[in-house]
Amino acid sequence: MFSRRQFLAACIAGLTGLVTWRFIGSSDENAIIAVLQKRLDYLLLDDNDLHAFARDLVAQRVISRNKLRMLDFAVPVYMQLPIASYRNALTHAVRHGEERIVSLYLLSSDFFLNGADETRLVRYHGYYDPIRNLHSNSNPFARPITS
Amino acid sequence: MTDHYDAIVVGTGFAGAFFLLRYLERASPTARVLVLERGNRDSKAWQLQNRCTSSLNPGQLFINNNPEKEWLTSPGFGGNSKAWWGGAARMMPGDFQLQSRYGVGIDWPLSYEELETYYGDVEAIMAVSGPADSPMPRSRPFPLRPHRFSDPDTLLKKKFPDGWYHPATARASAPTGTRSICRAAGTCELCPVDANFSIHNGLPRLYADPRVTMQLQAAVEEVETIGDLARGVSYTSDGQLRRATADLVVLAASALFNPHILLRSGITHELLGKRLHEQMPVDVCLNLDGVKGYNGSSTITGNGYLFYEGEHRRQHAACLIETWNSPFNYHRGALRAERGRWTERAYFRFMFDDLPRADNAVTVNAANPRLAEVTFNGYSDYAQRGMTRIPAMVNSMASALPIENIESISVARSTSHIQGTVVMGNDPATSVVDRHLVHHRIRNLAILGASAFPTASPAYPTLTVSALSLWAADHLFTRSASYV
Repeated sequence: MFSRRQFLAACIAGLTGLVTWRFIGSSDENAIIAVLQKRLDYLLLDDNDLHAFARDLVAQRVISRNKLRMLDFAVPVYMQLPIASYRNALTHAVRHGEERIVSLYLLSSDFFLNGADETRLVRYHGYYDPIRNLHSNSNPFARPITS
Repeated sequence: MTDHYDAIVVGTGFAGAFFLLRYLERASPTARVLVLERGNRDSKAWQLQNRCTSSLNPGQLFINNNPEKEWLTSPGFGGNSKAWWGGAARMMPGDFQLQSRYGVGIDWPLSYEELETYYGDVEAIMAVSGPADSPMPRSRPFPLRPHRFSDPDTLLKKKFPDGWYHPATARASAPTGTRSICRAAGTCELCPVDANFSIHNGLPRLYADPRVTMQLQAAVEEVETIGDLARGVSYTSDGQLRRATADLVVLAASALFNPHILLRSGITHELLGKRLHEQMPVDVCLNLDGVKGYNGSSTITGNGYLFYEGEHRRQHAACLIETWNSPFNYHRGALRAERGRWTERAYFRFMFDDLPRADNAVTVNAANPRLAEVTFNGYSDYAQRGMTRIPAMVNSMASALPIENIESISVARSTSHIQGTVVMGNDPATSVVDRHLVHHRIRNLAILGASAFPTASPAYPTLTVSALSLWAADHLFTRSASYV
């Protein structure tokens, strides 16, 4: 029989192992995909496109890998929490990160070019590059001076 | 071997180029001018391909003792004209008279009225776009029509007709022959359609003039003097130390490197290198209810003068507001992540003037004198008091905009407007150069650029820098070439 102390130690060790395993196994790309799936759940998204975008965004190193890992670590909780309805420093930081990811994905896709039509499948066009993509979607909201 | 010239101009940015422009207009057909440029002539194609405005890393040119404060500069041919965002506002008349009007700071040794015609000249050369109305007196209209407001700008203009304006900008609103119309890409430092004025696309003819010899990759070491006369400069090129002499020496190497060269030359003054400053930039992101942003025609679509001129300047800094119209910003996503409300947001930059502090300074690095060393201990209390007024300012703007809430307020790391360090004034005891940017003692040495600014206006410095260069060149000729 385990003593109470041994039982507690085993629980703590197990929990620590679980947390470590979960953290080590967390992925930047999964965090990005989770954000897009949560915040754009009303859009028709293509899984392959999400993975391609996540790979490209990670390669750009514009968002801290530690933050992405932390988010993926907490994904089960994150997906359930209505972050947008809380206003504190933590939710502000999370929302800020969400906005960066959502902004970059929508601008990298054909969504705004198709008039923000929520009934159409959103396709990823390649990582948003306002220099290279000037003639397609560098600023899809800008109105020409002559109109 | 020493070459002799009528003039040596150090630097090819706004200050050096606009001086050279007026100098060549007035100089004899046989004049000889040497232009020394530390960097390379990186073409626009090279810049776009390499995603970089200069092949010379500015980090190799100076040591920043306080890296949390950035000093953004783009060395090489064209200087910061390669990297600026085209803000071409004039300073307000009160900026020149802070002390006499408001009892703070110091007055500039010249007035708005004296510079007005030069402002107009620069606007014509740059083909600046701007509105028919203006917050400051003007003697001629802008060369190009204004860009299109975003919807938040339209509402602010309607509520504050004398406080909100289309920006004066060198981002073209019509084709100029060498520049396309701005497409609001939000990447002005690497504009893919070359819509923004630069020395590359606006004044390349100066450097093709047969009177001009341009030496690239030439790092000026010292200004050489004999008594109260500048004799020329020494510079390193191809690994060799060279010398050139001239009747007139013009430093236009920026507020970081003008004092560095002078200090290394033994041309000392108690204030030399001190009073380094920029405006204090604060980014304010507002969530709107039912009004969409980012739909103007250029990268910056509005300038707010609501909190600029006025008696409040006795207590705290004045403020110029700019509306950012790009859905892509460097440090944050500009869009909201809420369904259907992606652009219900307004992103403003509030720029506060600063009263320079003597402990913010450029010095010569002791271990490697070829490096400048920059120390910044913070903005003035005056500027910081201005920043504390932001919530009240936003409250005022809420009478025009349906503001849902303030998403964020954050101090930005730089305006890329490096100023001070070789201050101008009428009194040689309290200034290094006179009102025409000529050294008080060495009368054939002109030191141009924002290094001469006694105080920081909330406005962008470029138009003033360029106008002062025309003003300085005119003065050198009207005083009957007495410097020779």
